[in-house]
Amino acid sequence: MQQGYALDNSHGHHKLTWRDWIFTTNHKQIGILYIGTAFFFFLVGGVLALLMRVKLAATGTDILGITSEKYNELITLHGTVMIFMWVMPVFSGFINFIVPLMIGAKDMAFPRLNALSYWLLISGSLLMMSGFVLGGLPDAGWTMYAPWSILSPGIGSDTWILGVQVLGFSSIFGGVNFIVTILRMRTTGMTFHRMPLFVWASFVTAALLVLAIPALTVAVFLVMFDRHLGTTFFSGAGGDALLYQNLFWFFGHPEVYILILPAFGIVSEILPVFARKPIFGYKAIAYSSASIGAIGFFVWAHHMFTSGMPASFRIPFMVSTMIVGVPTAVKIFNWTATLWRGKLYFKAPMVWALGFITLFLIGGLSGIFLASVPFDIHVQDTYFVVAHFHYVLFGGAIFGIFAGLYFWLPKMFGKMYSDRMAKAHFWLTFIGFNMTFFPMHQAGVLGMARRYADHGPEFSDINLFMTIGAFVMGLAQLIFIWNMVWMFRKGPVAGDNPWNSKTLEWQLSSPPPAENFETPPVITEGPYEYGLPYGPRVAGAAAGGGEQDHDFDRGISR
Amino acid sequence: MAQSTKRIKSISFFLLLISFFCLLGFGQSNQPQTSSPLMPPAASTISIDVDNIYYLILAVTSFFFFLVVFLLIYFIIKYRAKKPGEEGINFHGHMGLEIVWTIVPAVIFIIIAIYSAEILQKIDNVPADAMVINVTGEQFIWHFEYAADGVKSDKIMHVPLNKPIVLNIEAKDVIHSFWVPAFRIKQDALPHEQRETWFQARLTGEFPIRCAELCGPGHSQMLGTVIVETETQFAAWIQEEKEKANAQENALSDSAKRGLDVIQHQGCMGCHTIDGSKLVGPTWLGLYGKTETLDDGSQVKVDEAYILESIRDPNAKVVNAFPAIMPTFGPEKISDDQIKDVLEYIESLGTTKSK
Repeated sequence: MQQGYALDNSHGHHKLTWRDWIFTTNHKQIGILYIGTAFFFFLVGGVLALLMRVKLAATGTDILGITSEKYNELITLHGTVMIFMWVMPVFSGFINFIVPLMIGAKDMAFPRLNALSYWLLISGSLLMMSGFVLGGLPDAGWTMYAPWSILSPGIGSDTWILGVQVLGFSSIFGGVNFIVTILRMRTTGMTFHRMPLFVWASFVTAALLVLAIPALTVAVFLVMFDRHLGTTFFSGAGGDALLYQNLFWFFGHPEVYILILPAFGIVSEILPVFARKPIFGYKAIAYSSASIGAIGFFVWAHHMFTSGMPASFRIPFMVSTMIVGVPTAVKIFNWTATLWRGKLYFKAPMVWALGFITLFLIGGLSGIFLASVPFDIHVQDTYFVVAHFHYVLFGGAIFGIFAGLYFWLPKMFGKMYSDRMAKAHFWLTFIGFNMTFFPMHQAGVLGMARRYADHGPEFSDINLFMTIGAFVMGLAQLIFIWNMVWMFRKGPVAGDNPWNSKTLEWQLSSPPPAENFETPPVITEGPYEYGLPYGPRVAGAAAGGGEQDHDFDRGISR
Repeated sequence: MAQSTKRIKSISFFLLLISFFCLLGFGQSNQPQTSSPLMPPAASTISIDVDNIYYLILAVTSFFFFLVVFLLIYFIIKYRAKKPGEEGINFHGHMGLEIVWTIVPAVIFIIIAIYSAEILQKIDNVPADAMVINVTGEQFIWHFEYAADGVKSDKIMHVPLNKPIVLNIEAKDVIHSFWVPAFRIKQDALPHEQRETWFQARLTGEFPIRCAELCGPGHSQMLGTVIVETETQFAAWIQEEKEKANAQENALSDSAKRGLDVIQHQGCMGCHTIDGSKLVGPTWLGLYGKTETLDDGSQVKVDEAYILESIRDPNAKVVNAFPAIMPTFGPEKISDDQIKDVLEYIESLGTTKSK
């Protein structure tokens, strides 16, 4: 499939064998491996979701043999696969492929650690899926709340714990690698304030990975001890079930930003290119990513407003949750303002990015409802919450992922997909998504609880409607797969810079040579200098407004 | 210029109109008995306050949603590139605007937070004279104990109208969450730790209780009902329950009484009834001696041996039409002697003659 991939441009095209892919330490190949693997698990998670929707379409029957036990396994695996095996690794893939190119580096700081991270993803995923073979799937939800995760019979919880530990190590190693790469590998002139916003977002994400995941590691190890060594951290008379929740959400809330910040970065890359205008408020967007990351560590208990934690904790956590909404609002306003007086080109990446803004906006606004403690008490653990986080993680993260894929696929493989199919993929996904998830807000408010295998007749119409929406979305993904097959088999040559973008990765061949830059590029200006006359200009010949040295090629020394 | 001012005016008017419609809901549920299509019935005093928060936030967020979406659509139409090679303007941002759209959301969020905090004070302020009901969650049933009267009930909670009621909520096994949508209250039930919440019902009727924390395979069947009735009706119900309990206990043999204790302690009646109605598991009324059909089509007679096996190893022979979700009760939970008592009790509920 990826045979056309060039190992080294300067020495002619060398077809990569399967050995090259397995033993590779090159950031671009590892990036593609990450994205391919993650996409496979997107399909797995999607099928699990469709099975859930099939079960919920009718009330009172075990359709397809999905009993309530099996339904609990479906929800657990769906959440786990989508979070740990699709969104996290696909972003690791993007960061791997794009960030070294964007900052003018030859590779990641630690190429072999990078390969280890990828293979730990594979090991962790195999462990996570091993229950299918060993007989016993996890059934305590992706949150693995104690003590049910401890008391749940079978090996399901064990495969989950071991799997998530290994996946966690994969992410921590990846995070360390990204941090060092961004701090130490930037080329001459690539100051922090000239870094593309995707690099900013990646940096904050990496910091969150390294700081948040250890809390999960500890929490699930203790669950393992309680299960097998007779300890009573979270269970039994002396155990504290709330301690698990505190540890889990100390990881779990930053995790939400791990899943969405890279999508913020992707959209911030795409908008200026297709609006032919610099991003509005570069520093505001960069700093808001950083502040979201920082404040994100002080909001975790808003997942626990009904848990019985001391009442006096609720107000500070409500306030911090409201505050984290501010930088998010700032981003949305800046993206919208980027369109103002631009010249907009509606290619597939742009269409997906605009879809992202609309849907993420809804996800962000429903977050304000949930921040308010009295209302949250009513809708906690209902479909209102399910709607909220799917607007953030599907409408946000996954729309961002597809925007990014359509943006960078031509760079990764040198081939172009069908723009029409990509737009059909968008509209069908967009319609199916809203059919599935918008009614969930109202269903939750009216009393439809989360994680129910059966909702009774009062919710049967709305559930059937949502199931139809889910299948529309599922169908849409087949268009994407067909588009990819078409691209690899018949797709036209994309060219080095089909979008006329100014960031560094587009100044190289498509796909880029193995060592990226023959000589390190020298950066003399910010990444989004659009809105100036086309074509390379003589360095130093100041354009219009008296700013100096707007070299079209961003000052790559030749 | 004049045209664009006009346009801005009509946009603002449109946005204000939408917010106004959202605000219509605000305070609407103050009228007794009216139920809004957006919300479950407002059956407790606090639910009116909670609904008002909802309508307030709905108004604010709808305003910002339509503002951003309107701008997006407007920009998409107005700034569409007409031919290849066009460029926008080289404009990097505006500090004043950044400050405005940082401060405006911050102020709005703080106002919402202050308003919410005030309502939260009401929620956390438990009245001193409240009637106490102890609520215990257990896979997969809710137990209620009316502290003042010593009366117990399962699944169905009776409460008097217009009287503050405090619930002491606890779990026996894993975390459950006690939720009455019509009261807008929800409180997790933790193992070994008691938490309290309270409400005062303002409407009579029956309202669903749901478990809102994933607690195992029977989670979605962990339902119940609150029956709100007048104070006299409630007192009559308490009296009736007291008499029923006495009469039942007097009719039983000593062994059957001990069996009933074991059954109540182990929470068997979460899934099994004694009145013939079907829950998760089979009813015990007339069960003894019955012939049942198993999943594989074979038949089994319900005798001492079969009931013993169904307690020790519940999934060995599962009767058709029932899910295989009963937990195992080994000798560490119920001793052999206790099982004899349990059998005695089940037998006391009537036997069925079959060939």
